[in-house]
Amino acid sequence: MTLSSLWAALGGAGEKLANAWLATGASAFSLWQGKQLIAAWPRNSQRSDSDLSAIVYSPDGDAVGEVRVAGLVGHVAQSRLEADAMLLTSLSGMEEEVDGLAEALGDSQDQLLALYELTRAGSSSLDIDKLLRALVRQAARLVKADAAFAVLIPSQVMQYPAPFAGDDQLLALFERVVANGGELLLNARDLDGIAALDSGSVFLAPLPQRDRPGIVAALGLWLDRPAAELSPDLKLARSIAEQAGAQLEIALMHQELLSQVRLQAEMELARQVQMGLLPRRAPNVEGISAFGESRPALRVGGDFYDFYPASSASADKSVPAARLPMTFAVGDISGKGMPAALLMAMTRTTLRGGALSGVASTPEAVLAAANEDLYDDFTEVGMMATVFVGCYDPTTRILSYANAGHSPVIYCPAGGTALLLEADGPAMGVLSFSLSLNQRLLFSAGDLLIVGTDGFNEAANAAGEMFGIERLLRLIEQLADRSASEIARELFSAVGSFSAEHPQDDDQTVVVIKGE
Amino acid sequence: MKIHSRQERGAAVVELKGRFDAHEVPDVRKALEGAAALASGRVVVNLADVNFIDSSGLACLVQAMKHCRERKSDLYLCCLQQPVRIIFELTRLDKAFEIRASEAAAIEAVQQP
Repeated sequence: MTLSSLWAALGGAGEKLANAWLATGASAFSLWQGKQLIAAWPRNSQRSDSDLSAIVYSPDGDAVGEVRVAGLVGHVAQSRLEADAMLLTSLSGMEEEVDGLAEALGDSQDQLLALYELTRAGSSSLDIDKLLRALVRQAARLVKADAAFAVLIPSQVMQYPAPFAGDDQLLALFERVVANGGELLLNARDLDGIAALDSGSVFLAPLPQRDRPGIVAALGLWLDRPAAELSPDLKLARSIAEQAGAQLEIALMHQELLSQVRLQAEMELARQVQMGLLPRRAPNVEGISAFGESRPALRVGGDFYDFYPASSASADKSVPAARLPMTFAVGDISGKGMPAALLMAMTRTTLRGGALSGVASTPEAVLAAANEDLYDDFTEVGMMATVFVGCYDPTTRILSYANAGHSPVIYCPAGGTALLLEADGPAMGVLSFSLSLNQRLLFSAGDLLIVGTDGFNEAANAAGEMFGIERLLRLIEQLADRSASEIARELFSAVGSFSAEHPQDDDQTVVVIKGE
Repeated sequence: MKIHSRQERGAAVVELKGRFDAHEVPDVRKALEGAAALASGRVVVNLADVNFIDSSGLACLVQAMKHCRERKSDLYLCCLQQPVRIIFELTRLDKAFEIRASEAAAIEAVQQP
């Protein structure tokens, strides 16, 4: 505030002050700012000589000018002039305060306007891209920034008015905000590699999220002016960032909900595909009856079973299909969800290919070939698959099998005690070579082979107690007289009622082979 | 499940406590990766206080073991409780893993080239 503008603001009051001096005998009253005359009475008198003078100060204590009186001398007149100078000093302080208030009022009106415009931009769209574009445009306009950008994890970057830096450079700036845990004001010259920002300051403010931990997004502004002038702009930028944070949160929630719905639809589709892959009915083979069924848990799992049609496994068309060896498999991929379902489909296809091509002629060879083919894929996704491969030959009545870590496999000879047949090698995908060897059972009428998955023995009741292998063995002995399909159904029903109060959290799959 | 990692005689020892199922896999995986990075892949997993492990848990251990062996090192298991030992025997993972009765024996063995 200069003395001249203060005097102008005083208007008639200043005039009265001057006239009071003239009325008490002064020949002239004048106001000076350095060597420049601001006002003088009587009007048009240009006198620079004076008998008395007093300094006018700014509220900070700097001399801003002088009041002079001519034609009067003495102690009393000097004191009165000094009192006038002090009055002007304190008036200038008040003027400055009023200016400050007016500026603050202007600022808060700007803020309200900015928030209003941003709210309108945000509420009209849940599209995150649009929201970020509106944010950088409005923020740059209202804070009078020379460039603006917004970053949203993991890697979304929006620049305004035109791209001025590499996205990776702006992501690196965002990382500094994350590391700092809050806003940053940086000297543009200290930013390596962003050539466009060569002077001024860069202000970075997180877009705060109420229900999300950490910093997920930030607004960046390049203000090409001295840092000392930025304080009100930064306040405005902060309130814009806060408002935008709340809108972003709503938009993100909306997007997550959408993708959840999409994922559920995908899972349902995968489940249908998976069920479609399972054979509808076991092939007809002399000397045995076979039955298979799989009941997936709520989430897509990785259980499977398969029967390989004997007719296509042999080129010899003179032998009736029912007299040809029948190969079958039961498997369980560790893990759940889409990766398990996909790996299950791959495993099943690879086993089928091995069994049908004739290259792998025994269960042991089928397992070894599939393990070799799929080992790297299993390693990549960090999964494994327990697999049982069996082959029944009607001409010899021998059921040969190889078992890669699969359980439970239960053998119950006619009228005898049920036994757990333990695997001799670990699951597929654990070692780069297979340790599972061919085993043989002579399969006569009434003999039973039940190949289940751990969804049976690990099914738990409300108390957390598991169904267990023992209970399965005794149950199978009780059911030994029933048909293959009846035995399978009874197993599902017994385990189902045991764990009735507990949701089925793993797939349950069983293949039953019964000698006839 | 509680996970506690420490270094002992040049091996990273990871102690697991409780039920080791699919829910625990992400945390255990992180701990095992950290352990492998620390002790140049010489890892001992102490299962003394694990009373159940499901197929996801087994797969997690298998993955860590493969990871260590790729780096010409190894992951040893020790102190298996009876129920967990039975699971390892049923799945024949006892043939794939190096298993020792005590932690000291596992630490000793994992040091051998």
